[in-house]
Amino acid sequence: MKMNNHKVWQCILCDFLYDEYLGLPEHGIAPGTRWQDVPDDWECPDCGVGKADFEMQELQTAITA
Amino acid sequence: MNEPIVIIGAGQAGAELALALRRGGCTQRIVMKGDEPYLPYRRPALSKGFLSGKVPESALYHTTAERLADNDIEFMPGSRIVHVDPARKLITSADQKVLRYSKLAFATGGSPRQIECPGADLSNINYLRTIDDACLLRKTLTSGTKLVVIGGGFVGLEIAATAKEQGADITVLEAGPRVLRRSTCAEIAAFISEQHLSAGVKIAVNKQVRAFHSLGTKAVTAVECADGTVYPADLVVVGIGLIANDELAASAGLDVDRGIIVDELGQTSDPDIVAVGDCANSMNTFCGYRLRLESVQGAMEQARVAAMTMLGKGIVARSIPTFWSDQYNLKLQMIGVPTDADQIITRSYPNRESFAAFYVRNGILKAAHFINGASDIMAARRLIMEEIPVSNKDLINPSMPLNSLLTETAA
Ligand SMILES: Cc1cc2nc3c(=O)[nH]c(=O)nc-3n(C[C@H](O)[C@H](O)[C@H](O)COP(=O)(O)OP(=O)(O)OC[C@H]3O[C@@H](n4cnc5c(N)ncnc54)[C@H](O)[C@@H]3O)c2cc1C
Ligand SMILES: [Zn+2]
Repeated sequence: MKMNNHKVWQCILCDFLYDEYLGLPEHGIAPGTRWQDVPDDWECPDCGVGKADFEMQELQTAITA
Repeated sequence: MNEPIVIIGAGQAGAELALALRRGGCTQRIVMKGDEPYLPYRRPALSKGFLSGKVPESALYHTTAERLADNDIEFMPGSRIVHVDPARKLITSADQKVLRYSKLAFATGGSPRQIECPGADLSNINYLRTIDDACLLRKTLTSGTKLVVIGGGFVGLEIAATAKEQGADITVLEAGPRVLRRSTCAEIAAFISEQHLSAGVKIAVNKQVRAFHSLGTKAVTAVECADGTVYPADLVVVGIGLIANDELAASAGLDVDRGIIVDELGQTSDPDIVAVGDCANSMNTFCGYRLRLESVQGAMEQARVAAMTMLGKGIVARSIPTFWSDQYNLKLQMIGVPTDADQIITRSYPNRESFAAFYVRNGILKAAHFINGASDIMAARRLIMEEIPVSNKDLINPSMPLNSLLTETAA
């Protein structure tokens, strides 16, 4: 799967990373799912804060795929 | 240089370090050795949803075997490192295998502080740090179990809350004058204690355990305190703090002081060795002094910073300590460093389900603790990070959303 400009979002409370490239298949969110397409009632799998408490990160995301 | 980067310890910090190295463009071999038999996993649920059975084991894992393999991370479970020789850059595992490294990371976490008193070696006296500990506890915890929890810290109180849902009969024994003394203010602690009391959990303070007793069997039957009180018990869980796993680093000659000493880049006293997570006593750029965090956020943040350090592109991140805890239907969320403040302002909400404490110094918010107040976390973080002046009057007022205090910069 190729995905350009995929972003990484970080939970401000526990530092959990949501990587658009990887998605979260364990939570029914397919790889490649953009942040805006993650359901609004989705919660951080670690600490339980809501989607609004995530921030976009300027991380290098060179995943060897 | 063809020797691998080696990571000792495969917890959340170790795994994040390995993944962050690849994200940062590392092309070297990466070897991660952990002494547990499991893939790297997250511990918070061990005292919460995993203990109660709501969270399955599969949901604990920080990463998958495929993802590690995709990232060319050579993960070796069940491998305990027993010796490190920084002069020759060698590590030795318990099976006497020797491996040479180019750069090394300690991500060895911590171990529960053991209680020392007569009877401490009886059976059914447990600690909680690993999946195995939690499984054992889950098996022994049934409805009607007389459980004595020693230590009124987060782990102890979370175990009490979870066990109560299982129908156990619970007493928490706290050595100090109140619970959560190291981590939050008296008001938040009182709010949480009240939930425990109304759920039927007994909390006794100023109780120093003097001995464990049994009736001829090997299993504990009672806990005796220094004031002479005796509590019957079928099961005891001890949660009296964590000791950093720093003895391997100390014997390798690294500087340690209740944790492996590292600077803001994660660097130890050896230029080719970093340390991250619960094992590290690290310079925190947010508070400007060294502290040993015991939190997921600390572990993850330090892992990412140390990865960059190992790749030679040291980046100092200004990271703000955070922590959370779940007990009953209370979600406690903590941000900042309360000890930097000299004044505590509390906020009560009419619904009585939420509560907040603000830690202030000279009109600047230093930390905030929320009970069921998630919608204010983001704003609190900005108030703290950007040092935006706040008034006590606004902080006390429950109808004043913290968002509206972010006047200096547009929200
Ligand atoms: C019950 C419980 C509840 C918690 N709840 C929360 C919470 O709600 N929020 C929060 O932020 N934090 C919580 N924490 C704390 C959080 O889990 C830790 O801060 C985090 O796990 C630290 O990660 P780490 O990788 O530094 O250490 P660890 O996760 O301890 O990993 C270290 C690993 O290294 C291994 N190791 C040690 N020595 C060696 C050696 N010589 N050779 C090989 N391997 C070795 C250890 O066995 C372990 O597997 C909780 C912890 C526990 C135990
Ligand atoms: Zn989170």
